[in-house]
Order: sequence, then structure tokens, then C-alpha cells
Amino acid sequence: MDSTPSVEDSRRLHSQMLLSPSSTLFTSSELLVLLKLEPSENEKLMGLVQSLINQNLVKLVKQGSELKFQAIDVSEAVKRSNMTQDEAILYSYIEASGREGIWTKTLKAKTNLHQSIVLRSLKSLESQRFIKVVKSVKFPTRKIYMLYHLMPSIEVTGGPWFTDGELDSEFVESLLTIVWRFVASKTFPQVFSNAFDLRNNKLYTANYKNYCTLEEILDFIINSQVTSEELIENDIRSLAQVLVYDDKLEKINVDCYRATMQSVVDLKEERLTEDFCLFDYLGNANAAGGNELDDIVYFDERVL
Amino acid sequence: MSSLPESAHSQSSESYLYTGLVESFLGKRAALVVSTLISYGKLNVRELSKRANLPMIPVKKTLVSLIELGCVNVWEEKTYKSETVYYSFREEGALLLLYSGEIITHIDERYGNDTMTQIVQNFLSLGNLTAADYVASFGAQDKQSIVNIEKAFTTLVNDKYLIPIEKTHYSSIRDVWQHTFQKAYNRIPKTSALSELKRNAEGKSNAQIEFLNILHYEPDNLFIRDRVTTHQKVNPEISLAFSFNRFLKVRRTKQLTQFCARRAGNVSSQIYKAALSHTEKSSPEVQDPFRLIGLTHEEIQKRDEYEPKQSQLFSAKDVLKLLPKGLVLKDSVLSGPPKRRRSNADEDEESSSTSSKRVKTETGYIATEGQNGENYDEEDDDDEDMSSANVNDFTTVDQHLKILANSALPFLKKHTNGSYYVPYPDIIDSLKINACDTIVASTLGGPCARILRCVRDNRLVSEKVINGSALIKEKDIRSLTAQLVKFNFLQIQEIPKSADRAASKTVFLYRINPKHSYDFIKNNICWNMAEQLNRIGELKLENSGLITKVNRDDVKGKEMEYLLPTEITQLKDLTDRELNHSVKINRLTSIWEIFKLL
Repeated sequence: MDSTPSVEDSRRLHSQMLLSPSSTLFTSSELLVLLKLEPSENEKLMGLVQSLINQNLVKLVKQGSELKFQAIDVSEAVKRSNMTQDEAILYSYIEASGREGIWTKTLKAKTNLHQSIVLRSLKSLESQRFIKVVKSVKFPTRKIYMLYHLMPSIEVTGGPWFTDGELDSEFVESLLTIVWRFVASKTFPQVFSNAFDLRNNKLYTANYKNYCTLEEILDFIINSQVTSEELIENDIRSLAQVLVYDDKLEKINVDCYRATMQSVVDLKEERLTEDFCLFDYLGNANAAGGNELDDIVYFDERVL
Repeated sequence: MSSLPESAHSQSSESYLYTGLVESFLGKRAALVVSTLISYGKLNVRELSKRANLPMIPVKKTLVSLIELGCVNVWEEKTYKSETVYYSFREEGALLLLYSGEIITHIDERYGNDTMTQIVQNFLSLGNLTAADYVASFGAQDKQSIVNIEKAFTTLVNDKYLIPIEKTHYSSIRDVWQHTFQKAYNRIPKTSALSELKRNAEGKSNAQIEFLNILHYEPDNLFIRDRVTTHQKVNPEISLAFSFNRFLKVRRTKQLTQFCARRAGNVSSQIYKAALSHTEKSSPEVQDPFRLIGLTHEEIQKRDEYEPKQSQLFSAKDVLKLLPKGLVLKDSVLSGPPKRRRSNADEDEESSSTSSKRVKTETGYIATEGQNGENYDEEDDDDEDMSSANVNDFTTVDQHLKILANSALPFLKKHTNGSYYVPYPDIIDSLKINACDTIVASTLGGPCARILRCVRDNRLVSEKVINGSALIKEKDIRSLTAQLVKFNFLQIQEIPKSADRAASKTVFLYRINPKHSYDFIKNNICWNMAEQLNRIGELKLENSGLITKVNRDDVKGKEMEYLLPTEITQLKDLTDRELNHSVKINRLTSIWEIFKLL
């Protein structure tokens, strides 16, 4: 019996494997079924697989103790066949790291290649736009590579608050202000109108719903089109939490927030009473400047 | 005469403040005695004279005035051989000196009665008095004046500003406790069935009741009926003193009212103030005597939950009676957003976005909010039904009390049948936390306060957690936390990750110890107060020539005639600077008391 694999059979096996969703792993018995071969014809199958591997059309994946096969797209195979052996090794590790990416140091350790080779190969792969460098929020100093067409995962990018791995403070601050103003307008009647008087302020009754849920805040942000970022409730939750840390909102229930009166007092920058009060300080300090600041002594005299 | 040792200023912030206070009110010698007592604790006259480097006679003379003003405690220790009198520093007296101006202002504001203000003023400068002594000090007076004075005494004693005293009033609270405990302990028979531990615990539990009775001593004949007028009056023979603990309740009311105004609103705070004043007299002590003597939590046998007494409960009706006359309650509580004009009704914020809904992110200004204000129709607020002004006020007050009870901070708690009470321990804790945060925000900046709250919320956090939950740039976090650590607001906990505890592999986490932060603030502010006081002293010393001239009998009241133009300018400058320092002391005191006294 002729055991040399025919090109026809190899192509057939490859196209059959590609019919399944990408990244499907096949065992040898599954491949036998796919080609409608008898178990005794395993040798023939191995021949076919070997020829596909040689052409970079199939790759071997070890899952547990079992060896499995994965079909590779023709264009991808062409890409790989143009690579040097070192580049191909590096590429396979980068590919395996998926959307998380892989650190150059890890690559070097895993491939056991010399630094200069690793760097040269990475440079070549990068210039061919096969891979790209991404900035990780967790490890800002590390050079992390991933496949060119992949989007970095949220762990790597840090979510909507990060731009190029850096916390976008201006964006966060402006959103915080918007969220606070929205919640404050729901918590206190007429709070942003000229009619609002701190000394004779109006309040909603105890049984009126003067708080906002995360859903309401998210709806407001989406409707007002302040940002092109796609935000989800969890993002709003973290914004609200920051506002709680700023003492501008208070959490009254799960995902329900109310503005604090202190935040309104700070905004209005006026004294509530003639007597000195510690809690008036923030507003006063901002508004007064100059001489008024000289009157304030907390830590200026005795800084330990 | 020996000068004040360096240790008077340097041994502790409080020593610096108290010696400064005593020096400015009673002179250098008294300050030296106080400083020595603070340094050494309990001393007898011989020891005191030796340590202070002063002869016995002036020490004894100084001690008399210090004891009278409550700045020194006396304790007689009897052994079978001898009897020794020990003296120790008493904080209350120094605090009375510090608050003397505030006390007089408060009494004047509260009663608006000169006689009462004068009585309290005399108590502050003389220590203790009987009503009879006080009346006698005026010499011959008409009957009506005497009746007025007696009435004033009765009111002050009834409101607990003046309290009857006995010998133990001048003793240290710790000595009184030790003595009471020893007596109670000795009364328990020594039997083999009772272990030493149990005997001790039983002794402490029995002594607690007796101890409280001594502290809240009130003789049966405190009030007597006047034979002529048949009115109740204070027994003229009983010695009275001003109660600092009662004044602390006034300060607590003030602090809580100010706190409430910034957390719940000004109108609610006025109602809260009325509620606090209503129960002030019977409210729990600001400083728990059992804590002052150093009993542990278990020994105090405190209930976990604060349970109010019947006299500490109040309802909207009680509060309504005490509200200030100028307070406008009408429309202070709304059942929903004020109505808008029909034409603009469709421009609701919650409706979908239109071009007018744009938000300018740079400034944080929201167009919709501005429109809201313009759209409110003030006249519509008057639509509510007015059946009776009083009923309306009652409902409004009740609504305010409900708002306070539902607030995120425990200003009020609901009891049965529409009555409320103030959960003092909880609200004081919140006050301290908020005051600490405000101090951090105003001195170290908003981001530091944000980190502080973040750490408090998460208990033990790494820089990564702060970065993720407080949304602060990682490179900024290190410098901000370093500042917070420097000022004792944060503490670092080391979590070693390798067996050799290598610093490079160790993770450092942040946590908060409130006691350390509060102690730091307390000491810091106290030192600042003392420093201001010291500056006033230095200022007076620098201008002593001018002050002597101004105080001369012939110059007094005729300064413009007798002083040179340069001297007048100098005097004006001196007064301004002194006033400036005094204002600073006043402000600092109002912050200090939150951490020190409440």
C-alpha cells in the first residue's frame, strides 16, 4: 500500500479542518473520522498531517498529555513560511499570549534565544506589522507584544479611564463633575439656580426619591453624548465611588447615590454662619485667597 | 525667682498650652508650679518646693489660688503613721481659663440677664462660692435685688451650670476612684470560694455605683423654700462651683449644629439645635468618667447600643416650642420638584438628548441645570394648602426630623411613638471622622482626602487598589501617601513575600489607625494654640513700657490726650495683633475640642 501522502488528500484534510470554527483542536481520531479513514490507516493520516505541518498549514498543540492539531489559514501560513525560524518561534509565543500580550523578558526566557536575536526578530516582525507593542497599565515600564490585529484586553488597557496606559485625569475629572451635578440636581431642589439660598435651603421630604441609581446616571451620560467612550454601569459605579471618596456623594443603598450638602456648601463658597466653623474652611480658602489664608493655622506652625 | 524651665514647653503640647494659660492668668510662679506638677505628677509641698526651686511659703500661697480655680487637685493620704497632702495638676481648671470668655458669652446669650452673667463671671474668677457669700459681697441691698440674685442662682443651679460641691470636688477623679474601689474591695469578705479575680471584678462593679454617686453629688437640701415669698431657692449655705462638664455639653451642641448645617442644611440644623438644646441638660456626659479613670470597655459594662433615657427623647412638638423666632419654615420641605411653566415642561432633563442638552466637559457646566433654575416658577411654590400655620409648622418640623433620621449620618434615631433621640456616641464618631477629613482636605489637598477615605473604606490597600478605585495617577499616589504617612493619617503595613523579608519583594499596604491621626491633630493644634498664646505674651513683653503707661490711672481713658501719636499707632497695632492671635486661638480651640474633649 502506498503510504506517501497525496497533495489532494492533504488539501482535503486542511479544508475539512478549516470548516470547523477557528482554533478548533482536533485529535488524531477526530481527523480519521473527518477523512473517513479506518483506524488502521493512522499511518497515512500522520503522513498527511506531517506534510501540512511542513507547509505551516497545521500546528501542534499540546493539551494536557494529549497532542492535538489545529488548522491554520493559508494566508497565515504564507506569513509564517516567510519568517525565519527564530521569528516563527517568537511569533508562536506571541500568538499564544492572546489579548494579554507577552513581555520581552518572558519571551527571551521561553524561547531561550539570545537577546540580540530576540530583539532583531521582534523588530522584523513589528516592521512587517505582524505584531505590535502595547502599553500595560499594570506594568507601565514593560514592553509587551501581541499580534497586530488583536485589541488589548481591559486588564492591559485599564478600561475607559486610561489613554495609552496613562490615567486620563482630565477626562475623569470632567465626568466626575458631570455626574455630581446631575446627582446634586436630583438631591436638592433648585440647587444650581440663583434662587438657591444656603441659609434658607429647601429639601425634599424624607419619602421623596432624591437619589440617583447607576442606571439613571449612565442614561444621562449616554443621552448627553459627553463622551464617545462606551461606558457600562460598572464604570459609573467606579466614578460614583470616587465621588464618595471626595465626599461629594453619599451611598444610601446598593447602587443608589445622593449628593452631600457639604459639596454644595463648598461649591457656593460662602459662610453659613458668622462663627468660625471648620467645615466652612474649604470654600473660604478657595474664595478668599490672600489675607484670609493668613488667618488659617493648622499645620503651618508645627510641621513635624 | 526661678524662670519657667524649657521642659514646660517641650515636654508635651498640652503642657505648653496649660503653662501658657496659667502664666497669662495667674503669673509666672503659678505657671512654674503647674509645669512642675505636670512633669512629676503627684507631689507634696516639700517635694514641689524642691522640684520647682521655690521657697515653701510662696509655693503654698500659689497653691491656694490654683486650688481655688480648680487648676490643682488635692489628695490626702493617710497612713497609720502620718498624713500627707499631695497635689497634682487638674486639667479642668486650665480649660476653664481657656474657655472663660466663651462661657460668659454663652451665659449672656442664653439668658440675656446681667445678674446671671455676673454670677458666672464671679464663679470663674473665684472658683467656688455660696449664694449667701455672693449676696453678702454686695453689702446692703434692697430686697428686690436679693430676690433677683436668688432667682438667678436657682435658674443656674436648675440648668446645672452651677453644681453643689464637697471635698472630693478638689480631688483627682482617679484618686477618688481608687479610694472608692479600695473601700468596696475591702468590704467583700475573703473566702476561699471567691477567687481574687472575681473579688476584684465584684469590687469594681460595686464601686462604680458609689463612684457615680460621689461625682453627681447633690445634697437633699440643695433647694429650700423661702419663708417670705414661698418660692424655691438655692440653699445659701451650700458651696457651688461652675460645672465645666455642663459647658462641654453646650460646646457639643454647637459643634453638632454646625456639623448638621453642613451635612443636612441650615434649616434642619436650626431644628436640630432646638432638639439638642431641649435635651442638653439631661444628655449623657461628654466625657465618660469611667473612661477618664482608665477602666476597660469590659469593666465599664457598656451596652453595645446606646439606649436613651426617657428625658432624652423628644418629638416635633417639643422642638417646635424652642425654635428661634426668625426661622422661616414655610416651604423648607418640598414633596417634589417645584412645578414648571407648561411651555418648558417638555425640556425635562430625563428626556432624550437634544442640542440644548450638550454638556461642556471642560468646565463641567451642564446646560440643562442652568435651564432648570430659570424654569422654576417661584409662585408655584405657594400653591400648597394652608389650613393652619401651626399645623403646617408642626408637619414641617416633623419632616425635618424625619430627614435627619434618614440621613446617611446618624444625627437622629427614631424611637417609639414619633419620638426621636440623638445617638451621641455614633454622631460624635462621625463628627471626628469628618473633621479629620476636612483638615486633611484643607491642608494636604483634595486628593489626599480622597486617598484617606479610600483606605478607610477598603481597610488595607495597596497602591494599585488606590490607583484603581480612587482614580489617581500611580506616580502621584506615592507622594500623596508619603505626606499622609508623614502626618500620621496613614500607616504602612509590611507584607513580606520572601523568606528573607527582602525589601525589594515586600509589598507595602496602607491602613488607618484613627487614634493615631486624632492624637496627631490634637497635639498639633494644641501646640499651635500654645504658640499663639506665647506670641501674645511676647508681644506684651515687647511693648511693656507702653502697656505700663496705658494702665496708669491718670492715662486710663484719656489715651488720646496723654499718648504721643507714635504711641497711639503702636497701641493700635498692639491691639490688632493681640486680637488677631486671640481669634486664631479661638478658631483652633473649636477644632481642638472635637478631638480632645468630645
